Amino acid sequence: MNIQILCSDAVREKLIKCTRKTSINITDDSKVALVERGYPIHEGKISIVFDGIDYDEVVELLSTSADTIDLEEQTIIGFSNNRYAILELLKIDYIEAQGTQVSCFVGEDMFVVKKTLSHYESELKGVGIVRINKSQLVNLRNVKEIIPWFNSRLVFVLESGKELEVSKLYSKAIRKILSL
Amino acid sequence: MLDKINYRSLVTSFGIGVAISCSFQLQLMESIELKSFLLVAFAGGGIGFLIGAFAEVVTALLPISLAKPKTYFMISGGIGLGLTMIVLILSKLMLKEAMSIDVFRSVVIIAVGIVVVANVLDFRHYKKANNHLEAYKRELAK
Repeated sequence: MNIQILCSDAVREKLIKCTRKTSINITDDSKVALVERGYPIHEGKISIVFDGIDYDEVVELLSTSADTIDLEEQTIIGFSNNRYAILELLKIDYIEAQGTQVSCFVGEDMFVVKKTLSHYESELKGVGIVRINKSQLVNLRNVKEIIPWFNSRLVFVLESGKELEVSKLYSKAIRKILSL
Repeated sequence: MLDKINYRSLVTSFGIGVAISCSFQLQLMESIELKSFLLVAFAGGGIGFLIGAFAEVVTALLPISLAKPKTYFMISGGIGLGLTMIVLILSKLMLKEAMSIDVFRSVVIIAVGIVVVANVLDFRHYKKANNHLEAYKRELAK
């Protein structure tokens, strides 16, 4: 996550030190600014105002969200074969929970992701990744065809050929999203 | 499997059973006693409910690997026509004298017509769903 900071030199130094171990990148080009109370708010940028004394809490808050989803960059961090990978939200086919593990599927590849399915459900609703049953979220961009199925269910056929079931409970919500 | 069953469909099946048995009675009986009319209507509803439950249970067992538009419409039409035929043949056997061949023929035509219309509407809904999906994807891409 890119962020600009507008604050005193003392707080700047602490912020830079705190953000070293996170994925927060301090740069003046960012669309988001972290502004210490009392400093002018930059026009045309989203500003987060904080009290100088709370610098560590701000970094913690930002790093928690930056570690998982970067909506500005439309990416998500996944883990596979002992390496981390940056996954583009557009390319994700579906996200699935199996027991305590949550995995993200991109074509034939599977990446383990950090947060819960509910977390991704609430964070990614706006980008077309929606819940289709109790253990799966699907990226509607990558759905090739909707097939009606029995018992008020639907089947989504993805561009990759994978078939996913939309349960009776969630098919109502899907119909609403697609204005059916 | 029970969580897949759509209980609203069972209520609808009961309603269709009541409607069919009422129309049967009105067509076949000259004088009907209200008490027996209601009783037969309720029995018709019960048969509709059982048919609906049977169809729901059977379709809940179908794996989604079978999910292809052609397969769906074939199975859906097949179940509709098959069950309707079974009920009609049983009715014909039970009501030998009461139901003339002309009445039976018209009932068959109406029943097959209902199944065909239901499938055509279902097909239109399938097309509409896919058109709306494409529109939604275009909206997301903006």
